[in-house]
Amino acid sequence: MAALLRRLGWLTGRVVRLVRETPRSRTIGLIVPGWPGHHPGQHVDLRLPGAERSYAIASAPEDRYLELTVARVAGGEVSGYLVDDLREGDRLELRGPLGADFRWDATSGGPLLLIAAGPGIAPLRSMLRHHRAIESEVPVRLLYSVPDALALPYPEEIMRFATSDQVDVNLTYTRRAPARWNGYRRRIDAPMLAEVSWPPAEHPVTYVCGPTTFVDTAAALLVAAGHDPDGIHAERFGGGR
Amino acid sequence: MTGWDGNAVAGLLYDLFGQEMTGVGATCAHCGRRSLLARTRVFRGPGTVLLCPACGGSMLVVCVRDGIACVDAPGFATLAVPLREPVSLRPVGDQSRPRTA
Ligand SMILES: Cc1cc2nc3c(=O)[nH]c(=O)nc-3n(C[C@H](O)[C@H](O)[C@H](O)COP(=O)(O)OP(=O)(O)OC[C@H]3O[C@@H](n4cnc5c(N)ncnc54)[C@H](O)[C@@H]3O)c2cc1C
Ligand SMILES: [Zn+2]
Repeated sequence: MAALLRRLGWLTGRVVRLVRETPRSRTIGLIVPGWPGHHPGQHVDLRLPGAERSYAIASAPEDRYLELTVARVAGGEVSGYLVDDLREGDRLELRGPLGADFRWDATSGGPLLLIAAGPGIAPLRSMLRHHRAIESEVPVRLLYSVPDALALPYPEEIMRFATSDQVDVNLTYTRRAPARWNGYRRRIDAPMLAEVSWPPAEHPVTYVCGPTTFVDTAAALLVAAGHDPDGIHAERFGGGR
Repeated sequence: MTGWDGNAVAGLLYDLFGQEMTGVGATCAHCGRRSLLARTRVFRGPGTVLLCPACGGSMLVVCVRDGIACVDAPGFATLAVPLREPVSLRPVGDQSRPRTA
């Protein structure tokens, strides 16, 4: 069997674009020679001196650059560097794409239920961009939880997704909603999920992503509401919320 | 610290098994439930531990030091490792190239 083993090699990406998304987060655009392409939802491992971390791919396979959206974690070794110190032209060592369960494409079907908090939107943005790029007819419902409007990355793009007949976008502001907001203003709970989700009988294909405590809460609520656990794909970023 | 799930160790498992493993199912030796490795719970300390999502039993313990991985598998009743990667759609993308075998 040894002869069949292959290592997933490290590639060197060049930082070509940096976009400040929120006070705490930034999108890093990379050109990665030798990059084999990816499925929406997959992630990369990043290698910095003395540390390795995983980051979801926020761009679609069709996009020009490989994009990562990184949110600074208090006291975080790697995220602080990526959000505040990295410069255009810098090189990053990475490998991927990784992940066989948390990925969506046309073969995965639907209806799609996407649930995220904070930086957990990144892999779902890849799915939504791909959904748009392939003109998918699969109906999508997104529930996205952020503390306040300042913490919302790519607001224009999220609103643009919402203009599609196939995509229904629901935001909830957990700390402070914008003025005249008439949507949700609390942490996710059973009534909110019941309103936003496809009923269990429609067998949605569900992706839940974000801080670990958020994903645990959302997944438990879905199962308690009668959703088939096999249909729930989850990705936990670690930490609390 | 509330931990991660198996997605966080996709790279580590790739190193150990030479292929993407998070979509592979494993049967827990403690409770008999089958789960995809992506859906195990992961804790990181001096080593990395994969726990069964159903019973919390320890399935796999990996310690990497000086480029050597020590693997202890107290909790796999079965783990079917495909000898070749399952056929998948070729990913698309501007920077893509067909993967060579
Ligand atoms: C599959 C996968 C995909 C990921 N994708 C993304 C992504 O797209 N964008 C993104 O910003 N992050 C993502 N993460 C999280 C990322 O890998 C790092 O954990 C995060 O950037 C913190 O690393 P750090 O070195 O800055 O913090 P560390 O120095 O490792 O930790 C500093 C402190 O923060 C706590 N902590 C660690 N991780 C987190 C966390 N995620 N949230 C809150 N507190 C934490 C630690 O317990 C510690 O107390 C992903 C994680 C996984 C497993
Ligand atoms: Zn078990």
